[in-house]
Amino acid sequence: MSDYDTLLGQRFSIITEDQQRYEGTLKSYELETSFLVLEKVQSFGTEDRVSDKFIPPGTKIAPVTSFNADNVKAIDLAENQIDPDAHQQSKTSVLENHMRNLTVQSQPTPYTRQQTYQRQQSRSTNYTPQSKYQRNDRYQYRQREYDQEQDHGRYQRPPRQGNRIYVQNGEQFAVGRQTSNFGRFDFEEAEKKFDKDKERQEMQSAQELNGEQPSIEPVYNPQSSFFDSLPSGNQSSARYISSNEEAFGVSEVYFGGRGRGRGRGRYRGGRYRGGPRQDRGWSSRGE
Amino acid sequence: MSNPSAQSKPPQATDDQEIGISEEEKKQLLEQSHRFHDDRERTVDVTSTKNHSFDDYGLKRNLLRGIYGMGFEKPSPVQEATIPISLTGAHILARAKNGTGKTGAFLIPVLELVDPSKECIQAVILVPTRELAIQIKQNTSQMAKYLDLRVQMVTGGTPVKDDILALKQPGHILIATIGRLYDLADRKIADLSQCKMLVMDEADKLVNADFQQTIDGIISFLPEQRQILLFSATFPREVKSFSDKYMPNSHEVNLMDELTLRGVTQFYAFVEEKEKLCCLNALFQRLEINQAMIFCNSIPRVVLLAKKITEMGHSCYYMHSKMPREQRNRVFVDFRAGKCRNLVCSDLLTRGIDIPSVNVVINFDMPNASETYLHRIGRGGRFGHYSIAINLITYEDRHKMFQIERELGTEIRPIPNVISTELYPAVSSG
Repeated sequence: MSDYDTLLGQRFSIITEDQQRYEGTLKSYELETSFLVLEKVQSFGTEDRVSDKFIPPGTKIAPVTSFNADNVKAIDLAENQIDPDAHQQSKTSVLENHMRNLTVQSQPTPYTRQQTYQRQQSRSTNYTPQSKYQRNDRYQYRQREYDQEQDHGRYQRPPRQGNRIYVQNGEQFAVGRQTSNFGRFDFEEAEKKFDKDKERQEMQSAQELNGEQPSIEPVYNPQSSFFDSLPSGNQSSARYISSNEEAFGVSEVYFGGRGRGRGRGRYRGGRYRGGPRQDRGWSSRGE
Repeated sequence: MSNPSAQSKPPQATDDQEIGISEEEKKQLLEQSHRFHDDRERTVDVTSTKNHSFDDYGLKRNLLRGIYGMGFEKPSPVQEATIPISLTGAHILARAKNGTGKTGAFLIPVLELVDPSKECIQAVILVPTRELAIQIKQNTSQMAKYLDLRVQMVTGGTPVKDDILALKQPGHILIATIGRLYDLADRKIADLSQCKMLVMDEADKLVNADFQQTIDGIISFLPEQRQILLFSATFPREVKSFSDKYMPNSHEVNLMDELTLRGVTQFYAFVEEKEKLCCLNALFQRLEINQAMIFCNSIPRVVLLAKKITEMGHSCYYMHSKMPREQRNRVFVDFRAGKCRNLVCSDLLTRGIDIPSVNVVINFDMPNASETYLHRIGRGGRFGHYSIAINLITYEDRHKMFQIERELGTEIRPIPNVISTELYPAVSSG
């Protein structure tokens, strides 16, 4: 019938005007009325896109859903990374434009790969500082909500000067920072610095020198016993006090201001007399 | 098509007592569930079954409806191995890998054996953390949807007053953390004298020297005729003295040939402490994270790291044991609902937490014990799915890594240039 029939049965990603992304298998389409019908449709919510309202991914899979092309902002094969701004200009006969673009893309021409490459390139340049800022802002906002909740709650402590990590004005802070501030990490270079086999041998020979016998007995052998002899994580208290400065650039940590003895309700007054000692044991282990 | 076993029942039996469910209804229930549409590939950890069906166990019809409604099509290996034994009332120690259906394995017998007509606590499910209690409460309520049962939860960190009020009308099943339950039972608020079933999830966390007296106390409140079920992926020898003491003639069910999950591929990246953030940032850009859990070794580090990840421009929640309860609940519920991509946490969430959409686990800090490591990486690869675990290794951590590799009999490989998404598909790849 039409060239677009090759697209039937393929998995598509759709972004609607309210920035929600859906994925589904194309069942049918009507160019005249600009309708798309997808099967097994799942909503992924607004994901990382800027929208008025954050919508979480849906938990259900709808058997069939129809989309009005007027409401569709972008459409692409699900395997491609969909670009929310790709099809914005073509408001007239949106669907046909979408479809045409897609049929061109799905042709196995030698240029396809290059095209997608270019698409991705243009996509990465599309990451303008502005959109970055908005993204940051939103997450910052969400984290701030939690912070505020903390501040608002029982953790009343005057903000300290110095190496405090809490940000008073999250927005300003976020704008000033670009991802590049965290630097580049070269996995290959890092890998060259560490010779695993050599290090392992060194450790073993060091152990032998110290007269330690590396135990040959496996800690778990289902043939001989139901039980294992894995050292329990309970005894080992994991502490990283010294390295916080190195990893995060701060030495003193202010986290929600847990004042000794007045932080949580259960330590106050007589409400919890004879309370759950054991449960306290859990938290005191710093887990 | 109706099930032959349902037809053979005498006509006067009520719907509640009847067993079996029609194929049609089963199919319908399964198709409505979310889990059923998760068509990611699964490993032998959950697929090597004997092809039992839940219909084989003679379960109440309304329980079967609940089971299929949750999208459980067939019993998993651990469920096949334990449910028939548990239904006879025998003590069980069951060992199965992380996320292979242990919760279902104890919930099904509990729901089958509890009598809805008796208004008293008939089964207690003990767990180590509040988050796990919340999760199991949700699962229990979901599975008991068609049964006339009441499920209650008591955990530490909540006002005891609320629990006292709630327990004035005791439910049939009580999910509890250990300290709070002992407290309530000791004050004669929770009446355990009719409680014939005690389930201990993550049993090795509960049966250790720290809790010895509390556990002894709790068991002393139970009737003489009782059944104890222990479930975990790790059973250190300490547990043996407990089972010898309280669980005569117990059955040991072991479904673990090796300790680690087949579906979890483990990588390491060699970093200096000061490069960790930079490396993490690079990982965020490289990986196709559906949802990730990132573990740190201390509470301050959890908070610091969450801040930094937010600065990087990624959505991030954090959670540790010193947070207020409401906040902990909210973070946990929201993360499970997929409202946020990354969760930085301490070892509070190392055990039992089941979030199927987590496909990447990152150890920002290497854990000190292999047991902790095993349970941490088991947060990915739930129910036999594929996921990856990435460890940031410093020079000081290298011995820890070798120790973990040796003790768990596993291999942690250097991170390759390209990690195929087949190793960690997102939930909705199909």
